[in-house]
Amino acid sequence: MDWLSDEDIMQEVKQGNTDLLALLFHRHHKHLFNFFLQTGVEYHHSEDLMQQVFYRILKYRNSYREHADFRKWMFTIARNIMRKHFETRKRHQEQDLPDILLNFIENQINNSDEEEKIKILYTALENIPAQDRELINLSRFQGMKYEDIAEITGTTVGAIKVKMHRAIKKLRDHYFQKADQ
Amino acid sequence: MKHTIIVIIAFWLAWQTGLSQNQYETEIPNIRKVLIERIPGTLLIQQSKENIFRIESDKEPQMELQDERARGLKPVTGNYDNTGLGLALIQSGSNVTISGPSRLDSDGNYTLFLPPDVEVSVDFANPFSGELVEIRGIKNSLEVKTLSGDIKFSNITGPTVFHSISGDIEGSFSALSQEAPSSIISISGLIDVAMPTNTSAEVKLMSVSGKIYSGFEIEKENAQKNKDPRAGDLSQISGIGQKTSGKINGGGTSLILQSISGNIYFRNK
Amino acid sequence: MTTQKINTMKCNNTQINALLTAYLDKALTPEETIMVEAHLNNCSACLHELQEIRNIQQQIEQTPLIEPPEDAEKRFRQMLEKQSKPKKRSITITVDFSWKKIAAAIIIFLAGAATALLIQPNTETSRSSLASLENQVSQMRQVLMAALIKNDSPSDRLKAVQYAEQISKPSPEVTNILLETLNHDPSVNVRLAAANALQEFAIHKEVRTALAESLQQQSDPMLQIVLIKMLVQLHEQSVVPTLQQFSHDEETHEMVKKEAEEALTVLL
Repeated sequence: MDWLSDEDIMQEVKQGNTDLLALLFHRHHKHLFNFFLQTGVEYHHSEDLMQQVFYRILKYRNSYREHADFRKWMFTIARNIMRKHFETRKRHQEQDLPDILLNFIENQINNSDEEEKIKILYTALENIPAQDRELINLSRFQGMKYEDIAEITGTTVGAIKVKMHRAIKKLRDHYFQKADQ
Repeated sequence: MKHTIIVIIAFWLAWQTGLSQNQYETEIPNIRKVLIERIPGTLLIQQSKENIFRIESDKEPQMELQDERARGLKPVTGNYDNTGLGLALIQSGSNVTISGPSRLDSDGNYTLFLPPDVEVSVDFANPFSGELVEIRGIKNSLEVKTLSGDIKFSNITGPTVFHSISGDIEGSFSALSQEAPSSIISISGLIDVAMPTNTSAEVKLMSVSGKIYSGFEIEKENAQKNKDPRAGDLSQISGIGQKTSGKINGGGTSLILQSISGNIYFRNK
Repeated sequence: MTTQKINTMKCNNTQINALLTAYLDKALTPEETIMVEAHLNNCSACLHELQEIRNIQQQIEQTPLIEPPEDAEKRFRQMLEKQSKPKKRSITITVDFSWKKIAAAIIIFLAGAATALLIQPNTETSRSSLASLENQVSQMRQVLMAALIKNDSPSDRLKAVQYAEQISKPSPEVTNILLETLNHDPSVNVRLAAANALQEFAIHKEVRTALAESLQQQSDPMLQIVLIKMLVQLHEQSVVPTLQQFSHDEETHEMVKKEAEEALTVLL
């Protein structure tokens, strides 16, 4: 099924074949869901935001530019929705990583050594600001190129290079501090 | 001193050519495809800005004989010329057709500036067409047919469908579009095509009586010594009447280069 | 905060240091890459840092993703259904159908099939449904091909022929469309591709006869030669009269003439 690209399908959605959006949802919802979780959105809210992103894609399908990178568009929308979400819940201190991330490891990973490492990673992630988690997620978990991240976050590639390093540096400090203990 | 003279001559030449240039420009949004046929001379196609169509010609448009009776009427048959350059530019839906008169003498030089991402189709397959079609920097699907005219190109991506009876087909791609297969055929002309080294494709090279040279690693027979100066340091991958097919860089879209009696040079750059 | 080891060997070149992550991500310009590599040669602190960044990146890559709630997709589909206006569910193919619409219709179907597969992997049933999925893909290629071949762009028609080549068990319709293309497509390039695709189907007698008949009406020398070569390989005797005609006709391209004469020595 690789032969129809996201962009082909989105174009078709734009032209009124809205049912096809289900396929794009199928392709991307897991990554999108984890993007929210790992940036610090709680489990059920993550699903809610994910549905919101695709609802917005459906609603604004006419503004999709032909051949524009679909994932880039999706993450731009996702970021905006997430920012709104954080703003309204500022008082609720929801910047901690959701418990599910840590619980999940305990249930799913059998290798305790591996489990320990992932736990350290998540604890380190928890200790850095959400903006930094977002950058690391887009680059490492989603595999996006710096050019794309620059566009999504509305900055230059040059700035991303430096920001990315700062983010990784913070993460690294927390990670190895734990790991070395 | 010498330099000043050269500069003066250069200016004079530029001025002269400037004088004999005739131009037409129009803006049409949302065009997907441009069809070009019956151009009375050589044709160079280049990029313009979005939605801009510009035609330049070095040929003085001939004054049509005025028919007193036809005053106030539009010609229904014969040439329709809305550019002042002897060509008609007509939009229908998302297509634009640029065409010349049905009977023509092919001694002009025409440059068309087209929006960079339109599809282009050029039909030079009639005996009155010019001897050269050159395309630079158009990044979409291209189709060119000629009889004896050469086809030249640079900085294109295709997919391409080129066919010539006796013209040479020569040029370079900036990348090879994986959207659809590309096919380049010349019956008796040579084919000389360069592509970036990292191009991936499923290639089919075939020449009935010509030789095939490739700079790319294809599954190949033993390289033979070549004496063809044009081949340079390309290795000869097949003898006469041979067909070579295989993957380059792991394979991708299909790319076909075929000739009957012309040599094929498939370069990496 | 950092471990003492790093504190003791700190790099002062903050400008270069800031590029280390981008260096690992291969996001630097060639000039920057050269600068960083030159710096790494004599800065052990940065080298150490690079190693740590790599470790942490690898750790991130090995971290599994969390499954979204199972019914998230169902909920989304329900929302979609509510949003789209009620309309006929059946797909009617009209004369001016676009190939993408058909592709779209089929893909929804396939998406359903694929999801079903994902839910119950590693079972016997999944193997057989995988086979049926493959079958469906073939059918879909066929529909796509039939639609694409009517496009006015020759690239699209070439793509259609390529689809035809990928169909595992082509139906008579596919062969007919290819023959039709071979005989009537306005682009020689597309006709040639059709000829090559048909070679695969030449086990059938009718296809061979049709190829021999096609040779009579082709005017492009390239197509003539390719068809002659194919028919000789297939030992198709019915082509002999056409070949004899070629070898006597003044108008025939000299290379075609040569090819025809050689072919006759083999076939007669």
